[in-house]
Amino acid sequence: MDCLYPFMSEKSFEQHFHHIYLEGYKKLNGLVQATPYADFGEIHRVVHLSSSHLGDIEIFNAAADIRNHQVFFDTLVPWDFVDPDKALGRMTRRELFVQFGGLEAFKIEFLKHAKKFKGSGWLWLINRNSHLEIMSVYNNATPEVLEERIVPIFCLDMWEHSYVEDYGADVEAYVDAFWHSLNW
Amino acid sequence: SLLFFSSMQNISKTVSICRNVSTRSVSLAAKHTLPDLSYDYGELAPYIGARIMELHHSKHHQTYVNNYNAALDQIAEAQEKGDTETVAKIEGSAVRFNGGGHHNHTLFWKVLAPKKSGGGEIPESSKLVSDISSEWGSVKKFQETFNARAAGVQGSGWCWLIHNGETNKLEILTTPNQDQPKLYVKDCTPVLGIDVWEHAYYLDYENRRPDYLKNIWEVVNWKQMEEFHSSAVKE
Repeated sequence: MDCLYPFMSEKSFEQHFHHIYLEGYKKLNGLVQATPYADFGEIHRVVHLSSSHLGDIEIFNAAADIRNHQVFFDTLVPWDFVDPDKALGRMTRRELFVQFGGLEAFKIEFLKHAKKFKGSGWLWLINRNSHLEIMSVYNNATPEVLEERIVPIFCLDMWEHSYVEDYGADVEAYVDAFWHSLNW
Repeated sequence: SLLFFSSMQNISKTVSICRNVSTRSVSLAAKHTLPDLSYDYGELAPYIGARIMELHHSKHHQTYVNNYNAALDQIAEAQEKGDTETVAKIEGSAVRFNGGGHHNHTLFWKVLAPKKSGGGEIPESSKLVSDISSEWGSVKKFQETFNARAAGVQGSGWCWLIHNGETNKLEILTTPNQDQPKLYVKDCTPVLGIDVWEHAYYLDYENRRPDYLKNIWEVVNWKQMEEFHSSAVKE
């Protein structure tokens, strides 16, 4: 399946989507067997409940990893399939302008965060208290469990498995390409 | 303005700047440089492939070196202004990460060796081997314990065999991201460090970190480990 090319090559997609993301569901199913979590229909509910039970940390890690990947893959589209100039509404544009100085300035700020990222994790755009914010979270953390009022919008997988095959160490090229495959 | 660095080999001072540089005077102190490997990129294959080695050394490690030097420049600037808060901030973050990355990888290249240079060869009798056996029962048990700890690192980090100077004993330690062992054990000498960041193995092993860990022992440089260990041991 090469429809995310050139953001993600067929090889990288196969590894990332099938071997990591989908395998994650199998792992989680194994962990939640014979627990109340097994009946939860949706991943984010597993994430929320397990985040407040220290004994369920393994379940939380598995579920949050899936949740982050779920949002990531759900907001990807084929290259240049969505034009931000047409897709972004007035209010979003205004908010981008107020918070960052516009769409291009936002992209520059997002890239700065990506280049400063120190380890594995996820780089998010969230809405907190009606304001747009760029947020770095590490390992399997996921923003929506951090605070009640956080609404996650989109994320970029900053684990190296997401980009090392196609971009080596070139985070800048990875982020640049991401804008072409994001479902604005 | 253009900042021009001369040869990246083993010189410690950089060359100066070209004319159009802006206000600050640039007496650049000794800079860190990317160390050469004592083997070719392809010589650790098939345990670690050439593609990983080239990316890991010439891109990842080089980036740590560049960012480390930039952070040190920023510190020098802040120090000139007496801005101790900024100095502390950079030391705690950019230096910890990039300096750590540089030093950790410098050690990593040394503790690996091609098979033809003794990689993977456990010496029959050595102080290190006997100390490992005292601590873990056997080299095999030590490797199993080490690999289990390394596989358990969440996200990015390192797994170390260190000599603890206070207890005069060997210990296994894991550190997150690019933290060096001395951040956690003040008086310690790293004897072995294995990189478990995804960039260290993903291109060959995908997310099968345990397979990487099993195979890397085929190219571990026991001679170098012995040297690190004997320099630290107190009789």
